[in-house]
Amino acid sequence: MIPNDDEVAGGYNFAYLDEQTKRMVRRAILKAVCIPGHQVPFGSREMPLPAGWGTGGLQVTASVIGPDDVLKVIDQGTDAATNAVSIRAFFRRVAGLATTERTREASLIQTRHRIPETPLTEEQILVLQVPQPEPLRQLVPRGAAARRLHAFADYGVMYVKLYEDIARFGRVTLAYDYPVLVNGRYLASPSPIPRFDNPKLDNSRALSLFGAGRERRLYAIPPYTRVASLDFGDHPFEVQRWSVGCALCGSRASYLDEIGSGGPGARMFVCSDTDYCEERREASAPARRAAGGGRP
Amino acid sequence: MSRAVVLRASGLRKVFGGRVVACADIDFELAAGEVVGIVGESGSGKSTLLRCLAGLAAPDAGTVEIAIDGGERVDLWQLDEVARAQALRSALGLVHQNPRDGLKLGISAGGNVAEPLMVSGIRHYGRLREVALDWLERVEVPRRRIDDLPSTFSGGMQQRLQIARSLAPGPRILLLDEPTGGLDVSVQARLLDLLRSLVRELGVAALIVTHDLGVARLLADRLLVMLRGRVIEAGLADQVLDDPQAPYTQKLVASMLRI
Ligand SMILES: Nc1ncnc2c1ncn2[C@@H]1O[C@H](COP(=O)(O)OP(=O)(O)O)[C@@H](O)[C@H]1O
Ligand SMILES: [Mg+2]
Ligand SMILES: [Zn+2]
Repeated sequence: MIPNDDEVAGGYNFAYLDEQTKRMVRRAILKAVCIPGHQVPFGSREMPLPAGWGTGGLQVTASVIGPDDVLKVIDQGTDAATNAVSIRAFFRRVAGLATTERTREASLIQTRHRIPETPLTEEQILVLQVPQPEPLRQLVPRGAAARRLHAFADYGVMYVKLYEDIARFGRVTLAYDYPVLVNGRYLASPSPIPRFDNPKLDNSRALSLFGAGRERRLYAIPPYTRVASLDFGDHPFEVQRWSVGCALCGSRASYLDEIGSGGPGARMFVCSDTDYCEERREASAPARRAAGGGRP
Repeated sequence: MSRAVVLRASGLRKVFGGRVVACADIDFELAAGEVVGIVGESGSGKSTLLRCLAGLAAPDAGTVEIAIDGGERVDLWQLDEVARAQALRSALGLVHQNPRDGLKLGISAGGNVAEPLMVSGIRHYGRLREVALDWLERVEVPRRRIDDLPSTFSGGMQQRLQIARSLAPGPRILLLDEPTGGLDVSVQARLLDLLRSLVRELGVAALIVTHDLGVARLLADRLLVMLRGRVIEAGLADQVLDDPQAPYTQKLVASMLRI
């Protein structure tokens, strides 16, 4: 959807940030792309959103987006969540950008907590909002110590965490933010996506950019980069599985959320990725959904 | 001695704050499988020397060569930090006086033993378990304690666990800084027995710091006597203890005999 003239605010530079700030962020992004998975500090700016609402992702998006881009914003898989709506409205206002809810139509997707089910393409950039970029933070007390371990590629502490989980619970219990080794070198947080989404990062055709505003760090996974979720040979990494399919579209390949269906005792599971679910329902329905207002 | 040298210190010097000469002009070699004791009063520079050898403190002068995989010797302090950590990882183990300095108290006993193996790239849980259990047994920690936190262990058991952790990666060199220091006498004896048999069995070269000449006699083939940062006497352990040459060593031996 292209914004109406009265939606676009005057008095701002394109995409809110001034050009010098964008250049600074882009330089950090270039460095991050050159060293896949390595956290690069950047001079995070005040954004008109509270920290924790994706200011890191916002700045990354603002720095790489152009007037011809089509933006999609998702939060927990849906474009309708408050956070997604306000970020989308923000870019419509300060950049006059076209936005979409369709993964296939977007050239840039900013997201929190999910990666779309629809495979991304070389033409797309995925921007992930990251609250805590340091995967070792729970395991080593100080930031300097974590940076040393990265420099030494010494990730024994993370394997110890996996070891302790298996010893205690028989399996690795991390459901979200499951650490990955990027390009065989740097340990990185995939952001709080479910481990279900980790395999989508491996050899992805799209560029993935990760922005952490509060921690002032960003990192990248370039297209076609090896991304391995940490595991043991005899306890291989596994994604979540469900015994049922999506109650709406029947998909057995997507990440499902449990929803209350009203009826007592009735558990219902539906796709967390609402666009994916809708697209599947449209494809199977004889009549196509009426086109949403003004999509180009 | 014809055995290969696994560690060599030459002209080692470490000064603190421009004034305190903790180590000076230290030269010695450690041969494969040999046990060398370092004795000397508190403050004579024993721990500082060990820290320089273990890559924890950069000497102000001199070199530390250690044998790495394949038998080649590298100059530890000429390597960059990453290469140094890598060389030390597989070549050298360090046992601190206080087990809390060498263990991670927040992770299980098994995790403590297995961590260095994970660092060196073992990615098979079952294998890690097996090795951890084997090491617990070797250091006389009951196998059923494998998932317990070391903070629930007695001091002696913690120390034995620390020894297992430092030996598990199979280093050629083991450095021990007063390993029996904080323990009760009865517990010390058991630990010494264990250390002696482990070191012999594994053929690891050990450098053991102690202020206890009894420990030195029991474990060491050779002794270095340190005073104010310098090695003032060196020789076969029995020779040094039975026929000390330096006046300081004579006093040291005499004072120990009186106890
Ligand atoms: N980190 C340090 N900073 C300043 N002085 C130190 C430091 N470590 C040791 N020293 C000094 O160096 C000397 C040797 O200490 P140390 O090596 O601990 O001796 P030992 O282990 O034989 O008791 C002592 O005078 C001690 O105070
Ligand atoms: Mg000491
Ligand atoms: Zn669905």
